[in-house]
Amino acid sequence: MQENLSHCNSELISRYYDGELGQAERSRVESHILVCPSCNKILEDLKGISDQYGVHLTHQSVGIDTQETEKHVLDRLRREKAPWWAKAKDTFLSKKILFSATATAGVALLLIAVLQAPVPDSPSAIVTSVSGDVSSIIILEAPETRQTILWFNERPEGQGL
Amino acid sequence: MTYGWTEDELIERLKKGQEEAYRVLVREYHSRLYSLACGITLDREESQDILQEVFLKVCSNIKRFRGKSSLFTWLRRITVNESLNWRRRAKRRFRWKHQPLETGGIEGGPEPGSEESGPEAMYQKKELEKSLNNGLNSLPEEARTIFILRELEGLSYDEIAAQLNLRKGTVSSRLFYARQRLKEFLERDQGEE
Repeated sequence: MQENLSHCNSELISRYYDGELGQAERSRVESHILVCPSCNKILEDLKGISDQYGVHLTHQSVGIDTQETEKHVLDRLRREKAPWWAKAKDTFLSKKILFSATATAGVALLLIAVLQAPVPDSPSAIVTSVSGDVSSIIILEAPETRQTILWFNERPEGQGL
Repeated sequence: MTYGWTEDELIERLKKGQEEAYRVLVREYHSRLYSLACGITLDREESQDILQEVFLKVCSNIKRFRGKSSLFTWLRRITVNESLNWRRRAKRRFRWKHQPLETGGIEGGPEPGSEESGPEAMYQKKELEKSLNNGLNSLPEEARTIFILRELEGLSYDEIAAQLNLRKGTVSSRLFYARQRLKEFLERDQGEE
């Protein structure tokens, strides 16, 4: 004869409800539930929650769109099965790649334009230079403004050329 | 048997990349996996996206599927992981408020004219549904996932523990807590009427 439960244990009832008890424990709980209205109520509540969740599930699954998922999966499958040249074409024509390629080309063009900007014509910057025993003079001309610049340097005493 | 094929045949066809097999896969498992994803994320729109990801993962990984578990067990594992990852990544629970699952009438309800279709009964059902939604929404992610795996999938405590990498005792106590909380919500809202 199985010994009855000495006290109510809600978690034990929950495990009983889920079929998670061994034979001996299950028999003890069953005997207890027969004589304990509060544990009987706990069991009823557990069933009530399961039933309500079942109703909830029927509402939840209304209006599910499986077609979109199906289309997505089949598209991927077709892409994976496609020959390499088709994949390459798709890759290069994909929006992401196309955008990056356009942006890179734009930057490259801009760079080329800047680097190839017309360089001002001669004369060169240095027009002439004169070096003497004590000093040197360089005459420069600014390339764009054509301003003349004189640069004079006097050597300190005792230093030769 | 799925659409006249055994599971092994379906897997074989999936490995060969047959479109029809993928159609069957989506039609056969979408609804159940969607309920699972929706139960964890509480978001219809995201659950659709998650399912797309799940099936795309099947596309990529089916050749590595060794059949140690059933096909559905594998799909379920991917779905649970994807759903939990989504929640951890995004933390966009506010969207739940914009896309409540209880929106609209009670579809699939009783036949018009029956006793259960009266306005009062309909109202009560709607309120109960709302209370359950609120309760599910209030549960911590882990407790809710355990509850969903138990109630929706009928998994044993051992199976849930293995799926979520938890101890069996933790599964038992979290599940008990989840039910207590849902019961409180259902009773409180019923008591307010």
